[in-house]
Amino acid sequence: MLQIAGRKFSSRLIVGTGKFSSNSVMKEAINASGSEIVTVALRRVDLDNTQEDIIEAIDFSRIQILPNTSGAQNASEAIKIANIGRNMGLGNWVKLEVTPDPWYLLPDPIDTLKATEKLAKDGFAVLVYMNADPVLAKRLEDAGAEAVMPLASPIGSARGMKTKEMIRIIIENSNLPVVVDAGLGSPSDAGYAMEMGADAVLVNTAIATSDNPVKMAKAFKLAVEAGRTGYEAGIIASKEHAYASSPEKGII
Amino acid sequence: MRYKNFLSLLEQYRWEKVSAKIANVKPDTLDKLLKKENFSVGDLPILLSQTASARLPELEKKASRITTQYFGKARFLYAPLYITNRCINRCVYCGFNKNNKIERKRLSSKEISKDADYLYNQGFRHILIVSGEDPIVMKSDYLIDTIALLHKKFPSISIEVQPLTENLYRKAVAAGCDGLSLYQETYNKKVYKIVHIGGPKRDFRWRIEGPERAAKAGIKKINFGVLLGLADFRTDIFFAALHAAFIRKRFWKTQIGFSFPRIRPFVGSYQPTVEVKDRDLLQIILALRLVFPQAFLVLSTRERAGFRDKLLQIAATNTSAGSKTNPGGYSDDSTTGQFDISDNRTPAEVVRAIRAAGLYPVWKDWDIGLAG
Repeated sequence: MLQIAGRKFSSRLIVGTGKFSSNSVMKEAINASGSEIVTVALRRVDLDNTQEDIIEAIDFSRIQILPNTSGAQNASEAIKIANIGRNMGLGNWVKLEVTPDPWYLLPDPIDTLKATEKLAKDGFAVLVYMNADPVLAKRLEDAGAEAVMPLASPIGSARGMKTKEMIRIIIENSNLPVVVDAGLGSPSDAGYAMEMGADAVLVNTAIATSDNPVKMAKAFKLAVEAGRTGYEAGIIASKEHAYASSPEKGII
Repeated sequence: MRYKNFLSLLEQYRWEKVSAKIANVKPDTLDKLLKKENFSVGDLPILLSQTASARLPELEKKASRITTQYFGKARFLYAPLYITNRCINRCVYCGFNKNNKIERKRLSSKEISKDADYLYNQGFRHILIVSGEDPIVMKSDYLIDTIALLHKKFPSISIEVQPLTENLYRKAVAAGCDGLSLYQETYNKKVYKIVHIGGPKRDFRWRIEGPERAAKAGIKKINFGVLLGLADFRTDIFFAALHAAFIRKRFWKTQIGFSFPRIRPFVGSYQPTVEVKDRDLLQIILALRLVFPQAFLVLSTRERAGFRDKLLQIAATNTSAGSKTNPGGYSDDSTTGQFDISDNRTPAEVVRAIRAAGLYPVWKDWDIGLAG
């Protein structure tokens, strides 16, 4: 089972809530994904406007909400937003996103580290969005993160596991759960990350903007399960040559 | 090459040469370009050309895909709040022109709160403060106090006022302002002088350097645009894009966007010298989307309801709704607006149309914690 910050989850698929066409589609997609962790941008949360609010559409009894700091460009903004979320009563989990560049939304390693130190000290369970940098992953671990979330490729790009060499090292070295986040475009991308040994994946755009988000959510669910099961079963090494499935050697 | 400011980059270009380049795009050149996946500002003369206007369905398909990739189904709502229509400028195209005999009004903080409460109750969380060039903005803390007042309720505050000093922009940011709309109106210096007959707005340079001062001061989102109808729009949009691209590279944390105001009927007799048809506006929006996948493309209620709905479906991301263009207009609609509104639907009706198009209306996309 996936374990993050002392909580156990049977699903290894985390989903995002942005980019959907409506709350009802989002709700259905979350259900179809089987996800037990759902991330929400705090900058979109408006408790004063319940009719339009994303939070209203999420079943808290079943789902761990993971507020994120998207929009924060530096450590102090991220810390402020995280605290606003906690004060709203959304709990002490936070997905830390510090993205100074509005174009590719790539995370700032320096301010991400600073904010992780501070938030961990202040009692937050910090799951950290980061570039796929193995050294930074260890630094975040030392700083008190509960999970690292390296990106597969730029967010929303659907380019798949472009950073796989670095993610491989992160998985090998990490004592924390590794959640591959951002850029997974197809179910097979997610399956591949899971086969590599990632503890979980986070998917938003690929589900929310597909023609059929509910069906796609299910596809990702299946791919994540297949990938994980394959990883646990032990995937055989690939070889240079062909080897017959029913060897004839020794028949005569 | 690294230019010290946008003006020195602009000086490398000749208006007539860019116009000629746009006018002489060969179909072959366009064919080749449309095979590409990523576009740059250098491609804009081709994308904005008359040659490309024959291929709008193709541009539309690409632009729509890009918009979905970057913005998903989310579309963002904002409302303008006019705080004063006093103005010391004489711009031939504007209803607030100093010489126009209209009732002038500068809202008190009480009146501002009244309009603001109305907008809040409608659902708005993003306010665009708009004013004429009222000298009080430069001489006092009127604007800064207004930002601070509104920021108590609204997470996101943008301003559309005269170009400010870097120091005033800094104070605006500290008070809670995160966005700036500052349109050059036209990048054609000759036309600029002709349409801006009097007042501080005649100073082309002070205005064009505004975005740089604002970005330096920490304004997070800057909206560019030209007033469509003043000069050849294809050339003008190219320069607006060049301006935005310059800011983007120089101030890498600044987000950019575009607005597309077309001249609307107003109090005064000026007639646009250049006609910008619906399909022209569509082409502009498509071209900018291809070159700036992540840019906010902003619509106002100057445009008709059906056309706005269509643009939002394809590539536009932000829209106002139920707007009033006169100070205090939300509480008391007796004064004259800056221009006539084409889309008279209420915010609730606009939201219904957004939903009906399979899109998600977002009122709040910013947090108090992100400002100041």
